[in-house]
Amino acid sequence: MADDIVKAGATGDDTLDDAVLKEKKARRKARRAEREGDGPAEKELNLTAMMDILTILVVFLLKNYNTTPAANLREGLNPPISDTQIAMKNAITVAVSRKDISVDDQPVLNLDNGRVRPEDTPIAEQPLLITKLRDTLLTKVEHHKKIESLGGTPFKGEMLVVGDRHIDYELLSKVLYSAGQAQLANFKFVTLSP
Amino acid sequence: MRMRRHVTLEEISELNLVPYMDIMVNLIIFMLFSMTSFLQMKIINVSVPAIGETQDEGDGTPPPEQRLAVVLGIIHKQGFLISLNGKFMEGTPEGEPTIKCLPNGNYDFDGLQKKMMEVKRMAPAVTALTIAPDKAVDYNTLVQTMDAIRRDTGGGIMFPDVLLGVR
Repeated sequence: MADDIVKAGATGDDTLDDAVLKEKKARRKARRAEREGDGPAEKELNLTAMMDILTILVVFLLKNYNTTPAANLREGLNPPISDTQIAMKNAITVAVSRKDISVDDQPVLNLDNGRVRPEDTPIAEQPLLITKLRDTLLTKVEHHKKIESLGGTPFKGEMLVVGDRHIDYELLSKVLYSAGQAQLANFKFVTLSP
Repeated sequence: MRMRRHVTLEEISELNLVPYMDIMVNLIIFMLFSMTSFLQMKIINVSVPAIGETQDEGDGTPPPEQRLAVVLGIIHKQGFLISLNGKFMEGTPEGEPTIKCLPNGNYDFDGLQKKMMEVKRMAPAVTALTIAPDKAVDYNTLVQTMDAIRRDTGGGIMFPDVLLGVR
């Protein structure tokens, strides 16, 4: 009985040794194959470098996210390209396309293929005055002045003009004249960098 | 018999970065789509003459070299007409623009820049001028004109202060 137990134990140890040896062999073989570059060598993707790239990208995007104001462009509103280097700033924005005029992204009046409809310039003595635009801008100006009186940003009479490159000077001069009637005198033409 | 699990050092130290990567990728895509600042926007400062504005006289009057009134007219599909102190610039043909359009119909912005360099040499201290385009001139031409007169070929400042008028 004791002999049987000893035999069985010896057989179990042998089997264990064999298994360990086999595993070691397999590991050695895999290492060799990996070194020689011809084996299956399943490598995990190194995510650390990828993480670095993503983190740098996120930091860069966050830094640029809110510092540069930008006008909303849409179809039919392509500003001209210019080599000016003056950075954008926040102000009342008037977008002028051949279809319509909008103030701070709110449509104010529609145009007939780049022409102001006669009913929108009703004052005969002031043919350049677009009354709807002047009234809208006056409301905005009053709002900005109220902010100034409460200790906010000083009102400087600035206005951003986001004009489509195909509009003609007649339309532009009407917009500028109407804005002038609403106490806006510092115009800033928004352009795209080349 | 108690089973013992051999935990390697590799297993302990490796962080699961995949969820973090997911957040980052989503964040980048969202930001890329929501920001328009890749279209680099710049501005050109422009003024219009105030109603009832008069020339400053008396002690505030600038010296003669700063009193050159330059008016640059843009004639639709013809060219540029330069006038200095109310007179057409020397060399302007009778009834024609100072700088004619090119044979292909485009405005000659290079010719304009050279001519404005001549004007600048007459009054180096002057930086302001009035642009008076025809009603039919398009906005793109106006901006390109402002670009042509802002700096000379060497990058020196010429006429960055633009006043808009009408012809």
